[in-house]
Amino acid sequence: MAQEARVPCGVGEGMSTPILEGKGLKKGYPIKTPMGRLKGIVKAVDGVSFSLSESEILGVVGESGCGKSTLARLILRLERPDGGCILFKGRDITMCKEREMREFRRRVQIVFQDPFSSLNPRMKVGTMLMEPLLVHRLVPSKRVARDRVASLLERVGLSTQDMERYPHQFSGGERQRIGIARALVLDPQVVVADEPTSSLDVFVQAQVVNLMLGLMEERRLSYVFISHNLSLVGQIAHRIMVLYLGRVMEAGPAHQLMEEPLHPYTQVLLDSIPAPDPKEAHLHRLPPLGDVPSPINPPPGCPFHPRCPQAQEVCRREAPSLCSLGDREVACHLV
Amino acid sequence: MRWFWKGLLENRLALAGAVVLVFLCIVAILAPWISPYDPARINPHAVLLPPSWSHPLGTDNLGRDLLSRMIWGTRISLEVGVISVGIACVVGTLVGGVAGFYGGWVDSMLMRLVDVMLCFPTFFLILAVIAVLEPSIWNIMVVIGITSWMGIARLVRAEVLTLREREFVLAARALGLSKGRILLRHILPNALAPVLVAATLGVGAAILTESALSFLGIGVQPPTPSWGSILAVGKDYIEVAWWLSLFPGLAILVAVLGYNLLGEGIRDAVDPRLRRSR
Repeated sequence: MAQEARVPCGVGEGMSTPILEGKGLKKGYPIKTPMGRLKGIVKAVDGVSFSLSESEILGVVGESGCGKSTLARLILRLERPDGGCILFKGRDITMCKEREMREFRRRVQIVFQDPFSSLNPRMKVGTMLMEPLLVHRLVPSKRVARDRVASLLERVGLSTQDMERYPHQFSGGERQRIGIARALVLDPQVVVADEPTSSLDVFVQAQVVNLMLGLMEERRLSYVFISHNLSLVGQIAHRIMVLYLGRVMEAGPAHQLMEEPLHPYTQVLLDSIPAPDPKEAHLHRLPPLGDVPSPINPPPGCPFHPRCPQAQEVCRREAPSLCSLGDREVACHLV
Repeated sequence: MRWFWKGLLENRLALAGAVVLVFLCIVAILAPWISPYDPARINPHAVLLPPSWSHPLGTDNLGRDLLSRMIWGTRISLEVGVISVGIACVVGTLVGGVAGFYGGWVDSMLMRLVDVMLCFPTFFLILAVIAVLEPSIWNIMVVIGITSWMGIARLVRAEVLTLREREFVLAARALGLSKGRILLRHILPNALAPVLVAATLGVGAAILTESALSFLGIGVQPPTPSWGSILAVGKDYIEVAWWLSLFPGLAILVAVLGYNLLGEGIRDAVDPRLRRSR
């Protein structure tokens, strides 16, 4: 497992070939009245594009309800997008049937937020982790599967005996490690982590993040790291994409975006990070006004304008398109 | 599982139900050894004898020992109850599981079938089927089974609908496991708790149905003893031989009550809202 040479993190030579790409992804959910009449459509993801290179961490940030989890499901092809396409190593898998995606299913995996509902309560951990190996016929025998799972469990900080235990016998952090082990058992190249640390306490969060970073170097993984925690994503991601009501507000290299946010929404998010020293807190910027508007009736124009401290007349009329500024992209009339 | 047993054992009524059922099961299993007489042996010299030391529950109109017939009848009742409910569970779980998991038109078709089946007055449907087929114990079990799976199908479908959106199922799909495997290994094992409750309650209902059929003379055929058929004979002699009606009636009551109490106990033990602590 650790035989590969250490790949340097960050902007390396492999960054030019994207392993996973999304182009103009759209997904809407119909809202029906109890009588079955269509009341409206929630545009959970509305024209999101991204690309992920080898050994890269793409951070996806946004408040709850901004379409982060839907995006994760679209990337994993657990749901078909209404529009746009997903390319895995340049191959369009958007409309593939399940049996045409065996390679994709092996190579792209997911870690969920809730470590309690993400493990089958009636299955022993060992059985759960061995099942995919046996189904994909990646091992010659059950014994080999057993050994592989045992060493994987040890790598994520659990023991071989844990194979015989059921999920409810573990703590939240341990379950999240099992979730990570399950995502890694088929030896993937991309792992989508949907808020993997949000339901853990701070100390365990750090352990899980460090584990994920270590595994990334050992196994040449790429992560799509979804979170509402901009400060955490800012520390680990190479690129960051900020979502708001299903649309990309701003995207760019992490250090640039953290140091000099262009979009008012990113600025607001950055300001909402509690500063370790209260004297250094940015008190000069306005807080966001009110709550996230309903995604059923998104506001006309820029989706952020009702809460934007710098909103102008043009923001209420026209939705800004995503414009490139060198490495960065931003959707705002004011930039 | 420990909290389940603990919750069940703390419920006195459920425990009483379980004790009654264990007793009835032992009686049914040991029937050939504990019944004092051959249940089918006719004795013209001992017709309609009241309970006594030689015949603890009396004799019937043909001089057969009532206790022996009751003991053998326990076998029939439990057999019919358990096997017919077993058939109902298998059919209901498969129909509900497939409907909930695949959704769309499969779901609509299967659930309309359930609605149609529920529209029939079950008892008259059974009467009609038995009238056409031969009234044998196997036919009765099958007919009771295939007319009582609809409730279980609805329960399982509802469970599957919530389970299929759970993250461990999504993870299984992301791992490329087949739909059949996900349904059988990941979804259905988690949907079976309400089925267990419905099945336990269903056994009581099935015993009652069998007794009613036998009472009407189209159930288990003589000379095979069944509580319902003993009761049917008893009604002709109710003024001179009360024991012929009382004891089978009591047996049906106790068995059905036992299953209902146990079923409700399991339901409470499974329901996390009623769980005090793990």
